Amino acid sequence: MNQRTKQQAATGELERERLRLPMLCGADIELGNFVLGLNRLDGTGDIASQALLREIEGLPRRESFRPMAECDCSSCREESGPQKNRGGERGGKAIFKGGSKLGFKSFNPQDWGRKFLPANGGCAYIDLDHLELCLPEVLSAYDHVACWHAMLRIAREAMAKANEKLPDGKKIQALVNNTDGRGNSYGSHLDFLLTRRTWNNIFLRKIHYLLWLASFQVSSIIFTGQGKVGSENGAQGVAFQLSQRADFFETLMGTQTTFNRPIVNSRDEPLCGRRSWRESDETDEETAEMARLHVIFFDNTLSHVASLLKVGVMQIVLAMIEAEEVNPDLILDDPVEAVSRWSHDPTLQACAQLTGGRAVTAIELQMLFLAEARKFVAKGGCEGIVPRAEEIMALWEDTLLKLQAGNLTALATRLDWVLKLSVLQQVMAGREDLTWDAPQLKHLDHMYASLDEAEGIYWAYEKSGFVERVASDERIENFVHHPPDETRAWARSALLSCVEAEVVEEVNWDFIRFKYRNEQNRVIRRTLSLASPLGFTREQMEAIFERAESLHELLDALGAPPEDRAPARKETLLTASANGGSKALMRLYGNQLATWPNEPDAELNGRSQSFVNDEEAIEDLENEN
Amino acid sequence: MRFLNRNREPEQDETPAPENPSAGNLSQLRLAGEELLAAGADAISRALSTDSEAFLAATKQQGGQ
Repeated sequence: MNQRTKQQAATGELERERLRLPMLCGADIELGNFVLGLNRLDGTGDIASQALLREIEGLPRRESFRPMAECDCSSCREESGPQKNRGGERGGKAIFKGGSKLGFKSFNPQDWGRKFLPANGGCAYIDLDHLELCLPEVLSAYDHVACWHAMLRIAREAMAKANEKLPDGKKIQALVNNTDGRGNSYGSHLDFLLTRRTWNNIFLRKIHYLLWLASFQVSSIIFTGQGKVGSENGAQGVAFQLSQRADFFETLMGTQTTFNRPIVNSRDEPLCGRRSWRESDETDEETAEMARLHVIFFDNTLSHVASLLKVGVMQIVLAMIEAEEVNPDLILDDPVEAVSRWSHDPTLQACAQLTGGRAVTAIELQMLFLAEARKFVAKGGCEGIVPRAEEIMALWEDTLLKLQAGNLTALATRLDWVLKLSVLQQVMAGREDLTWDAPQLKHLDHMYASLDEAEGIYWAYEKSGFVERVASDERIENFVHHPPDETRAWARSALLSCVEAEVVEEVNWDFIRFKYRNEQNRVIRRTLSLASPLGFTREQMEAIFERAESLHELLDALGAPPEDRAPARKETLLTASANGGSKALMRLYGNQLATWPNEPDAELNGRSQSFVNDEEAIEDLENEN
Repeated sequence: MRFLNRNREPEQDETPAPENPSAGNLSQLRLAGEELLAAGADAISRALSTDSEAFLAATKQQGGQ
């Protein structure tokens, strides 16, 4: 390598090291959902979630699954025609009938019936037995709050429609919380765009970054917690605690999300054109540097300020990690123990130990993070990375100061756990017969987060003007009907809105595959990659959309290849199974299809890999097709 | 031309959301307990007037992520 090339390589490496990305954010809201008035030993979550999903308009993720999807939205009705038997109230379970007829995708109980929303670019699906709402990607924490509430409005409208169809005496209830109060928890996820270097630093190279992040997260429950009556999952008994989720975190880090839940989730699924950074065959220069931090730690929040701080402060903290400005003095000795200890103490006096030996309260530790962040933001560390960082900092500081001063009354307008606790205390003050273990208290705990505007206690305070708002009604309503402008969600929404549903063969976060007849009347498939979450924005795309006279022309203009190559072998196999099963597939895996393991993704990946390695099976499958 | 048929508003509201009138109002921030209760009275009394044990029996979920 000559001197110039060495210099170029060194410069390139430096540039990569310095690469910092805007803190784009995605999020999922998992709802508790059930049918009141219908008693079943194993619960009614499956019925409720399917009824809710039916009422949400969207395009199913894969065309192959539409005919069998138990979905009643207009696009599915058109697809299936009037003669389709939609099954009974447990219709979704019918997908398992007849062996492998629907193929592997339908076997994932944690991602069933996913449909993307043309209106705003988000999506909805069923995870086990509850509805999961996925927000479109945003750059600003303020837009996150608006999108969050927009998705709740969409779900609320679906709930109203679904309830109209139920017989008298039965009603679907949906709760924006994270636990059923019986030891079962469901998440509230955030996703942040990071550089690959930062992701590697957190999980593979600089473990103190991981501990620093975990220490920030667990101390942040003083403003991100929704509050909860009682304890679960074997935790020590408590009357009221700050966090819905704290009792369920048992490990510091891990890929798992449904058991031994980790404070920091190490799932490596960038959703930017490649399944994993290890799949270098699909690498492109831009998205090769992108990774996604999947955060399962936080509670569902309803209060605007709590929701804003949950995302906005995380953006700032992650920007600090990305800039490698991590002060190891702020690391807790045992974050897993600390989250439980702090959650169980609404007086906020409990201490946890830092690795240096100092004992701190959660407020004190947050104050230390705030001081570090203040210096970082002051020197421009968030410029171009975290929108409105100064405003978020001010709100964070003011909230911490009020917590420090014990001014909880003021914070009932901002923080869910404070508002919930205040309401419960007032109810108990007027009802001497009610104690913390009374079912009425737990009932009120759940009803705080009811999605129903008439029944949900939170909504009463929002409507009364008591709750401090950061997103206007207009802004929220905008995101019910429109996508964010500054991310790829704009192009996803625009594409799904402007084409006929039947030409969309498959849609996911980072691509859309179309199938249509070209000018020669030949059916072709074309895939548009939406690999970069920061690309395909309204500013970049709108003029192109306006000029296009046809889908074909639009895809040309957007740079989609003229026609897809034949599917890769692995994809052929999965598609084959989805399109009607396969003798070879059943011969190989028939026994395994009967049951589903705890970690379906991992098992599926492993199984897919073994297909590819089985040349005889591949040939059989291709011949069958 | 169907690509232009999308019903999109030309501009999104980029200005900061207006502050809630109550946000800076100290008297409201310091609502006394009774006033606090009053704001959510309907929702609270509706919950308390129904069968809480039956409600709690119905909440069962499989769990999730």
